Parts: sequence; C-alpha cells; structure tokens
Amino acid sequence: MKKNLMLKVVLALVLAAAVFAVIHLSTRPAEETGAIQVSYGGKTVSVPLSKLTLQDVSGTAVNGKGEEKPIEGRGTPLSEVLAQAGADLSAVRQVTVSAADEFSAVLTVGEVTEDGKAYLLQEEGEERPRLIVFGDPDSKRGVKDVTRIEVE
Amino acid sequence: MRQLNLRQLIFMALCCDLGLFAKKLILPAANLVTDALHIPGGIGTSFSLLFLVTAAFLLPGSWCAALMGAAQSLMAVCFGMVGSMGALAPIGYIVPGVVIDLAKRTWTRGWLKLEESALLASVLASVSAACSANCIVFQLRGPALWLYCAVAAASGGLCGMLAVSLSERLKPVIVGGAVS
Repeated sequence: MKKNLMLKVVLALVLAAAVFAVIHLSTRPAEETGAIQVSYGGKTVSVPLSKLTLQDVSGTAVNGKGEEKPIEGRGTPLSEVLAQAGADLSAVRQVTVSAADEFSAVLTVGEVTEDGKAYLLQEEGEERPRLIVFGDPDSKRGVKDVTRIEVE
Repeated sequence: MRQLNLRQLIFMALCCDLGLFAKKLILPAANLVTDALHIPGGIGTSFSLLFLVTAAFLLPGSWCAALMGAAQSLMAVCFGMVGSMGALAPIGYIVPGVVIDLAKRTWTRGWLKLEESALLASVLASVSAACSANCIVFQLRGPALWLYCAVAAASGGLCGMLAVSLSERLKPVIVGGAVS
C-alpha cells in the first residue's frame, strides 16, 4: 500500500470518529454545573449539590490492586440524593450512577438503601462528586465526576 | 517461535517495557481528547500497542505479540499497574497481542503487504483492547460505545502508520534487512 493510501485510510477512520463524536455529543443528556440529573419514571429532576446535606463519611475502600485505602470526607448517602429528587425506591430494580465520561456503576436498591453503603462524596477542589460504595472488593464502582443518576 | 538472537530478544523486551510505560506518558494528553469527547479512554492503549506491532512485524515467529502481551501483563500485575481492570488486567494485554499475531498472518500468508498488514493489526488490536476494557469495566452502550471504538480505531490507525515507519527505520538494525 502506498503511503498516501495508508494516510487516506487513517483519515477515513478519523473522519468516522468525528462523525460518531458529533452523534454522541448531540445525543447525550445535557450536564448542569453544580447539579446532578436524576431520572426516574420518565422524568428528569435536577438536584443542586448545594442543597444536599453533607455528613462525615469515613470507611475503607479496596482499590483494583486489592489495597485498602481509607476514605475520609464529607458526602451524602445516595438514598438521600434520590429522596431529594423525589424518586420512590419502592418499585425500583436498580440505580445507575454515571460520570461525565459515560463510565457508570449499577447498584441494587438494597445497596442504595443499606446504611453506610453508598455515598456521593464531595471532595475539595472537585467540581462534581464521587460515588463510593463501601464493601466492594475493588474500586470498579468508584465513579468520579458523577453527573447523572438513572433510577430504573 | 523461530530462534531469536540476543539482539532481537533484547529488542522484544525493550518493546514490552516501552509499550507498558508509554501509556502512562501519553495518558495526560490522551485524557484531554477523551474528556472533551466524554468517553473513558481509547487512545493511550493504541500508543502502547504501537511497540507490540513494531516488534511483531520486525521479528520472525508467529506468536511474538501474544508472548509480549503476556509478559506485559505479568509486569503490570507485578508493578501493580492493573488499573480499573483489576485481576482481569492480563486479558487487556493478551487479547490485543493475539489479534496482532492473527493480523500478521495476512502478511506472512501473502494476502496483504507488510504496511497494510501492520496498519490492520494496529487498528484491530486497538479496537479489541477497547472492546475488552468495555466488557470488563466500562460497559458503555449506544453512541458512546461506537465513539469509543471509533476513537480506538482512528488512534490505532495513526499508531499503525507510526509502527510502519518505525519498522522501516529499525529493520536494518534489528534484522539486518532480512525479515522473514
């Protein structure tokens, strides 16, 4: 293959990526600064971070290497965030917490309502909160930059 | 695998290390792009695979890249560089290696020229790495998944071109102009 043909193939791939970028960026839910979008029952409610009641959060999280890491900070139980949005958890199957980069974690209703299990931690210097799920064997559900919560 | 001389074995080990650590170096720059696109990655791994593609197409043997991927996964586990994949991190290193070796067959069997085959190997390896990460960690769906794969393919294509260029320059040094 001639060099310019290889270049054309690569340019075609870049162009395809650009097209998908336009589709993705135009179809993804809009983000609101300083608030989390909570979707349930076909509607979306914006919950301002400033309206959340913060409490001390402390515990131990396990990272991907299996190392224990102490977590200390201020945050809000996930169940309280959902209550603030008016979501009724009685007829819910699961809760999906998503980040700005579309990384997401799924929690069962039992995990959301369990005391001391799931928190949205608001760290200093961070614009958006981080999901902490205590008791997980790894940090796969440690979603940073949380922007959306979908209650299904 | 055919008998490799000491120089080739050292080159293979060097490419393993470069592939593993290059990802860390390029990650801040790659994150600028992926953050803007709102996807969790897809570029850093392509750059890391550049070295596997280069070595696989320079050195004789059928399973060079898979072996290097296995060595990288072992090093990643030993150094604790497993990222969000955790204990499943070896899959993310070995699968692209196997894909590179399979794609190399399009050249060794005469179906494609070396440059074409290397480009194909790089693109497919990047997409396979992205798909592995998506299955294990990200679980993206819909347009986000398509974009994630398209970005991996595009960066794989760019890195494939770099790998071809690098192979051409290194060929006289590593194999003395006699590629199998």
